Amino acid sequence: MNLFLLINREFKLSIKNFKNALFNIFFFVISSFIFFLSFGSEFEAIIEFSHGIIWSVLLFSLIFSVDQFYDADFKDGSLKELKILGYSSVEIIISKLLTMWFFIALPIIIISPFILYSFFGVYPYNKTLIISLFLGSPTLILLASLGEILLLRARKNKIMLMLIIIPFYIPILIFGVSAIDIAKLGYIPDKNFIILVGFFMITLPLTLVFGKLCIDQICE
Amino acid sequence: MMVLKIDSITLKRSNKILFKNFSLNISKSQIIILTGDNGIGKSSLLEAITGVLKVCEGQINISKDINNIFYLGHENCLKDELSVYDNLMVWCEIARRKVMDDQILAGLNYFNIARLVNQPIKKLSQGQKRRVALTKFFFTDSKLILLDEPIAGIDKKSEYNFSRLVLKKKRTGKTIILTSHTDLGFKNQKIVDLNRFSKKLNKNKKLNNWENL
Repeated sequence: MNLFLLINREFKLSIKNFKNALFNIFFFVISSFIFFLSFGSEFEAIIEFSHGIIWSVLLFSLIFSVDQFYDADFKDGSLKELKILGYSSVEIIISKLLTMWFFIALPIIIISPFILYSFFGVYPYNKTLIISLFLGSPTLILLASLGEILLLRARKNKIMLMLIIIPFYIPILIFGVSAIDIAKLGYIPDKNFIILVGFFMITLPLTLVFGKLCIDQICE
Repeated sequence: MMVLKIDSITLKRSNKILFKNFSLNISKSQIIILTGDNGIGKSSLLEAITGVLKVCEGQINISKDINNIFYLGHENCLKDELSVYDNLMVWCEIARRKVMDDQILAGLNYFNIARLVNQPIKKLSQGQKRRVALTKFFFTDSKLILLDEPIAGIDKKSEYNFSRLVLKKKRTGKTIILTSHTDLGFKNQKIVDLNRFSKKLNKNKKLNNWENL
């Protein structure tokens, strides 16, 4: 019940601030186009790297948008208020993770085949791309959230602290992108998908435990 | 009936001891005013009662009758982009309060800000924002109410309305603990001057230092 109320709150806030979600989608679309156009007339290179571009831009979209979910609540005192109203830190984090995935990652997953379509017509590995984004994006959100929670109290050295988190994104990018490479060779990348799920299963409890500790500390 | 029992607590913030062996018993329908210099630990004491700030020693026991605590801190907990109405509706939902539109207007009208109902928070002055936050106090049905400098930045008329609301809540059996630098002049209020406890601590510290010599 508590979690449902929190998810409801987060969804309402995101709908009221829908321009933020639109900005994230806009950022994704524009960045993807700029990347693709930077290849010039080398059409084969674009086909070769398109899925890597989609994955990289998705990562940047998530990193840049995650602060709107935590920072505002921390600065205006809502985080403390929620704790006093009886909501646990874990419930707060889960509600934000779900909202982030729904309002940032999901629209990007839906849009990415259309972006590829605008360059290549029907992209032959759409299905693999969507599945890999679907399985990999929750882990990216978990890591981005953990990074943001760790940074909430930091006034200085925010960029330095952000850089510490960045290497943890790389395995997800590698296995996400290589899933499409494997599909291009004619195989089913089921092992990559299992590894992406495995990353999620490892990152989820870690994010919840460390996120809880940080939020409890921040609210003191 | 005892609502809150603070039993010999030691409170620390940023490795600085604020109080040692501080005790206080609070009964139902009491108004407690915490006073003291800035940084003495008034807000920390309220946060310790909510459970957000852990006490180093001692215990804070809250009566089992109290299911939830209403707390209004220094921050107004309002979203800048949202309108006054949306902010209050979102708060009512997470606070599990069923409030109708006309009740929202009545609450805002009480603090003379009904005309701002559709204004985004970012367009309001600090005083108006505080009055919106105080409207939450209007709606709450918590039996234990903690208010941290609730009248900071608001005008005299709103201050008067706030005092009336405190008395109204007291009459309905609510216990109110607030920090303030202004004398609100409630009848039967209990004033707890935290300077006394801090001085006691400093005195003990000096004594301890002298003893060490």
